[in-house]
Amino acid sequence: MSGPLTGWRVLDVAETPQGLLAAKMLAEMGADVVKVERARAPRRGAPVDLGEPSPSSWEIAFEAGKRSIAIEPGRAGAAELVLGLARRADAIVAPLGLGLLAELGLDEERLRSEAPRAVLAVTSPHGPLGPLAAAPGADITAQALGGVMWKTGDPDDPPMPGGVALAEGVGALYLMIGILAAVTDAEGSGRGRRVDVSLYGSQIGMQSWEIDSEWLLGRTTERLAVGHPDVSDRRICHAFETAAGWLQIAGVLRARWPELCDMIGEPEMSERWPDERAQAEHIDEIIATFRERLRDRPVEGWLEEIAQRDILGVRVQNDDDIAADPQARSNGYVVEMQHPQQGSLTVVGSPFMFGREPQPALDPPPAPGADADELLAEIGYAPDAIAALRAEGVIA
Amino acid sequence: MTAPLDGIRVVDFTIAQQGPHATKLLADMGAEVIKIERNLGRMGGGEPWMRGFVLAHNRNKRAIALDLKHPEGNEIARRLAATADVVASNYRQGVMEKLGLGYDDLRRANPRVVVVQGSGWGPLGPRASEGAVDMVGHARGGLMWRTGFEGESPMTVGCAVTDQVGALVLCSALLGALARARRTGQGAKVDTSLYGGQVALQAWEFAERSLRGGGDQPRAGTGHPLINGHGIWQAFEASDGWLAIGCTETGKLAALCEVAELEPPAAAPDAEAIAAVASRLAVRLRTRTTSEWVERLRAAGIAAAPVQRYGDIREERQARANGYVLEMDHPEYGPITVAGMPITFDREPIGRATPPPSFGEHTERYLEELGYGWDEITRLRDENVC
Repeated sequence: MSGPLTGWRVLDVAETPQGLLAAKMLAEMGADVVKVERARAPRRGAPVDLGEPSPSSWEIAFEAGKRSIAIEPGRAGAAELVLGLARRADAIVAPLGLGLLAELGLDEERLRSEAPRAVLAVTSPHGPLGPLAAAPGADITAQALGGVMWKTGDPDDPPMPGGVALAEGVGALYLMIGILAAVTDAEGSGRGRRVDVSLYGSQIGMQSWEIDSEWLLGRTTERLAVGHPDVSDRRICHAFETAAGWLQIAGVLRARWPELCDMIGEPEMSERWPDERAQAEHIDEIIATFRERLRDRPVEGWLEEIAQRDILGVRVQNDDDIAADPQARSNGYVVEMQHPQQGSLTVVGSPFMFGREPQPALDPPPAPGADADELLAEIGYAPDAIAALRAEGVIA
Repeated sequence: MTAPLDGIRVVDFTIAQQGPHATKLLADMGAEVIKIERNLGRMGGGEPWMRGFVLAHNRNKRAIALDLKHPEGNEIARRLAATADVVASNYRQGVMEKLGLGYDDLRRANPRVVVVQGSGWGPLGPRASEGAVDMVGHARGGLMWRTGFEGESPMTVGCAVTDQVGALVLCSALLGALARARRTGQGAKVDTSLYGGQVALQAWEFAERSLRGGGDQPRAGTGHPLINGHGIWQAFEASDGWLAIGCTETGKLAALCEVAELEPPAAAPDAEAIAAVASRLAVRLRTRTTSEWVERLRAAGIAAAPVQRYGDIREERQARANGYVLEMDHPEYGPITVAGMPITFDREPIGRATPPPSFGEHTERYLEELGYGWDEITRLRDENVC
């Protein structure tokens, strides 16, 4: 089955990873995503110039599978052609203040009247309401505000973020959920809602369990370098260094505890501390014993034992491990993107599977403006009108 | 105004976090989510430390208790699923099929139905049938290795991020299929996993690895693996707490230095020059309070924020204004504060915060809807079918 959103159209004027990634994931679901960008300007949103070849990792991650039209927002006719694209869109993804759309003189009211069916999805650092609505923000400041930074790291470390742009990525997923709920609704109502998701809000939502627990129980949990603060203080749920590689053992329930102790050659430990209460009291000693014992063998050896003993444990993988993992390949989580200049590139694929078929790789990211003629023809511009727009510098 | 998913019915067989949090989001957005609870009881419901877990993943839902292995309980589940727009589960592969509740069974009675299956590792491949929990998804998904310092232990993000991202991916996928079902009348089978969600979160970092031809990948340390060395992107200690600064544009780096009363770096600073700025900042920022610095930096257009603890968030005005924090009146706990909803529709925070249902709270109501009489319901109760 092709993606369920085949036939849906998305207009993408996003400027941050949150919006760009949400739009890309809609493309993974089959939507026709049209990126409108500024001509002769660097692609917005990349926080750093990594000085790499084109396409950059940024473009591969956030712009693949889209079509592009590049415009000069100051020129007469630019707003009209963007409105033409907006009128047929099921969703428009834009930053708070609407970014490029605002530069074109298109505000929310105008979009609402010209494109009433389109869901208007708005990204922001802190949300559209409240005292920080206009304050600058970034992924790392959202991780700070949202509490996850305080919870990550060893108690002796400074507060640290999760190792990826977590607020942007999780914010993209919440935005997508909002967009898809609103387009489902618009199928019946014919009216597109406005959807807002911020980086800050995404971080709070991401920790619903931990936050609800702390507020309900009135106790704060310590930061733990490895493990979950609500689990790893009462059973083995830690990563251990082996003779080669790291092994993560999941929270082991009582029934498998004797097997686990037996595996590391300490069968009497499960008799001494049989239940969770006893384990919680002696957790530091237990962890120290596991550390000592698990150093003896490489991770592959332990993984074999673990499988035989029906214990849940895995290798702590890096990107090379993931790229080579048949499980990731079989399900389309890692795919090969065919790029005209770079050749075959191993990239992250879609996490969504429809009808038991992994999604194929998206098309490589378009060059800015690559699809202008095709898009303008689709919305009714004749070839000579397109040529005139180009001659006047309205489109690149 | 109506909620966007008003009128959508979800029959929810999910357990743990990946499934229940996804269906909680649907419930927050107005869907009627009917949680099927097996007679075994609710996961973690009895242990005090798991009360927050139940609270966070089950609000705004309805619940019916059913023994799915009993023929009559199974039939009730199948009849209920025939009325659903969405049927969700995250049992191991094959369990729903064994119960006669797989997609091929359900679509015969209900061709519009969207069936979503969550798993640890995806439905295909050598590990398809293996179980998983948050922490092993975190480890295999690469995020645990990326978080933390070079040469040190893997490090976990300080929350159950893998389950939660798994929930978001599952929710997205089912909504994509639901939108299509609304338009075309055709249902679908949808699969997502913890592993796929983790990998999808790392598209940028993974693409960078490919362009560099693989090999060792930098870890995040106190910042981000691809941003470290290109800008100021970390937490600093102030006189009364910590603040985080995200500043990557060269122009803003000069403004940052001005606020901190430091010499600005060269026009195009290299990693060494940026590290020098960071260490001078670390000394300077200790001289004032977090809020003084954050205010000054924001006024200069620089992203800065205090490193908040959950207790700070609870009273924070921005979170309240956008509905990221909600009040709930709970029959057992009284008035409590809970994490809200990150999505707002038409700029109105979602106010729905009905407490999680008690075990099997709505069983009778749904059996009645399916046409069961009181005598029959009583008998099914007595026989522990529901």
